[in-house]
Amino acid sequence: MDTTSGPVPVRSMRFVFEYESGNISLILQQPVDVAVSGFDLHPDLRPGDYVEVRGPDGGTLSRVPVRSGMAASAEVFPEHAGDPITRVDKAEVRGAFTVVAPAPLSASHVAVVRVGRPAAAPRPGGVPTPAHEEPWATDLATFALDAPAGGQQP
Amino acid sequence: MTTADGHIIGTTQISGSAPHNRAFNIAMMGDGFQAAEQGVFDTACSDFLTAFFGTPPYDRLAPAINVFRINVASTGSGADDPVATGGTGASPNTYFDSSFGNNGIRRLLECNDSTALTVAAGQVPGFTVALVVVNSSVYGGSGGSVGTYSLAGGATEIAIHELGHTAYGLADEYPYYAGGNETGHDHHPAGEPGQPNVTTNAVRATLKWRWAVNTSTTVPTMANPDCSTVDSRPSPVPTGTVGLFEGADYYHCGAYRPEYDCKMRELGVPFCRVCRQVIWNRIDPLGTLVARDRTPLSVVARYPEHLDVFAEGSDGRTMSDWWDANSGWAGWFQLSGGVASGGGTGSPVTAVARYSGHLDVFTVGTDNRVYSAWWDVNGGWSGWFPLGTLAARPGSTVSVVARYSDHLDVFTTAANGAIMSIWWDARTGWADWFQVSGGVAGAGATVTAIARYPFHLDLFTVGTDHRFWSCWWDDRSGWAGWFPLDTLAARPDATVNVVARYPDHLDLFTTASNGAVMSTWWDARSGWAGWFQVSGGVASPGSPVTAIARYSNHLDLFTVGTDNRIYSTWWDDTTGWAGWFNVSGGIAKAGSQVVAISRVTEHIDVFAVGSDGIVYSTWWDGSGGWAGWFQLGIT
Ligand SMILES: [Zn+2]
Repeated sequence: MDTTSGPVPVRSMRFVFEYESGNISLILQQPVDVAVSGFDLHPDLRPGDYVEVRGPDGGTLSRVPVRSGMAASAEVFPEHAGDPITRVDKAEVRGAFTVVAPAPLSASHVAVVRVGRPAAAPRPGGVPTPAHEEPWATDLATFALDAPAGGQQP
Repeated sequence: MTTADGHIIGTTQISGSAPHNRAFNIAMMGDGFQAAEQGVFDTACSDFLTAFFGTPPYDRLAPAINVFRINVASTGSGADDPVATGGTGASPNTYFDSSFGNNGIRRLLECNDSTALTVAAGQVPGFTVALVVVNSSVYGGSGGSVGTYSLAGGATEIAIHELGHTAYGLADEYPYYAGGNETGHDHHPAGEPGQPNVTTNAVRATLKWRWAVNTSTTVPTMANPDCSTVDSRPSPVPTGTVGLFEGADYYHCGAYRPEYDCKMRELGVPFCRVCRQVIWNRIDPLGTLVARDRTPLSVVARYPEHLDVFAEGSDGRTMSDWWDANSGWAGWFQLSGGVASGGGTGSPVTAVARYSGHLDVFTVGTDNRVYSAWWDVNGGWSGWFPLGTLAARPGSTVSVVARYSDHLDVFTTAANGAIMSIWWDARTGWADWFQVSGGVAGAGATVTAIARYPFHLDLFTVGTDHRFWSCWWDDRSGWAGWFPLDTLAARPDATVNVVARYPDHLDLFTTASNGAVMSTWWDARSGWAGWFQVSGGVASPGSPVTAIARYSNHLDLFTVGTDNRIYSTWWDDTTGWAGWFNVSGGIAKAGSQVVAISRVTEHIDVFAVGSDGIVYSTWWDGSGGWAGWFQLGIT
């Protein structure tokens, strides 16, 4: 095959967020050459925390999950094989997390979003009818993006 | 203690050679190692590599993984170890402020996440996950966005477990919160957890890992008889059996895990089958797909800015990749653990979008039964489920048409060649298989269906006499009988491609017994025309002809020529048929198929299996013409 040209890569951004007592701040936003796979680009909404990149009209351009986010508990590992891993409630819920999300040049905002689980479990039976219980989503924090370097580019 | 407590020495890639922008990149940082102690950190990183790549499935994913060692010199040596939690009272000044004794527990070892993530982003901009190794022989570690662990024996297991959370969103499979004697953890709350390796759903038919459960395995496999505590009985099934084991996600009852044991339940044991698959699904899409040579690809545009492509791996795995205008190509993933029949040229995955938030897909499995799965924007992918008990012809193609959004008509060939159909309606569910007007397809022939109107279907196939046959269904009159389309001799494995440029018109494209690319048409006013060869074209043995209509007066055709080059031609009502031309120098596998789609009128996306077996794509745009071919994977 003549493979002289390929698809134009989509710009991605790394975001680092800090959180403390329910307050979230964006401490780093950095363009990065990383391909974000479908594993992270959930087209479907499952319960959990997400980072959404949005356009000027507020529309979602991309959404990636926060896989180790603002946990209220910490995992304690056993020193001796066979002993249980346990969890403890954190004395203070604070820390940081990072994601890489596709961010087209039209992106203007980034939001941390929490998606709750729908009330009902999946329906029994093999009938291919999807559950129509819609998960709910809430913005936890929203931040403006810095203008991209060389923002005059087409 | 601040980050002034030391300095960054530099970064060294210690494993892997994958392109940094398409790899799983692990950034390892050391804390509490003074400048003279860097050799100790280097050794700890080597030990991690040994443990990590010795843990399936990482042992087979090394080509897509890079590991970077970020050497950081701390002013002091070791980590804080408060006396109050049984420690030594040490309080060295270290770069990442690591400390034992968090939450009153000595072995809860934590560092400053913000500092670690910021340093990782500066040193390895494309890092996927960050680990901090702490210079202490006291056992300890923690998870979260940064995996932290000490030099004590076995602490690398903490890092590998924590990667399960951070990189893949795996849940904890242990059935307790604080060891089993806690209160408030008897019954898991209602609702299905989002993580892939725990569930509250005990129904086999809808279980999210049902693809991994043997039909002979009882579900639930193990139920907890006393929800006030943890079920501590041994497993009733051999190690490695995937089923449904009660007790997971911090609860004694009401939540289930896929295997009796897993590294997400207990350190020192392997990942379960489901977790291994999830890890695989995260890392494998970073590559390209080597496809079954001649199994047709399919593509669906649920809306103009989105494409879903379906293919089969050379091992028969049912694979998909999708493109979105905002995020590019997502990478190949295995669709619900499916493996398709390898009979004939291999049963393809066919797909239809009844509406923009939904896909229905079909294939014939290795047991030659017809399977379906669906994707919905509100729930993701279902598992594969069989449609009735029909024994299909090995490798048969399953054709599907959605006449309207609440209805599916499905067609395929039975083991004896009988042309079979089944339908689904939102109100009534799946009907039973029936033979269409007594029709029997020739060996290797497929059944093609089109709905010109919501109340009308037209079918096409090659009969046992190697002639082309058609049949139609109308809401008012039901199924008509099969009738021959003239006397043209078909290539025995010919596929009929049909396009309705407008509802009262059909254009058919196929291959004659000598490989000639042939066409005919039907018009409501004039009936069937005669067959004619399109611009002198001859297809590679086995290759079908693909047609799309971008306008009601325009057609684009694609096929693989006898020289295995990928060719196209077009028809316009003002200029007639153009000559065949090679698309961007493309060369395909002999006998393979080219698929094309026009998601917007001045744009065509084309997909093919290259001569190297890899799935490629290119596009044509009204303003820029043809692009070059690129390996379809992730962008
Ligand atoms: Zn865990």
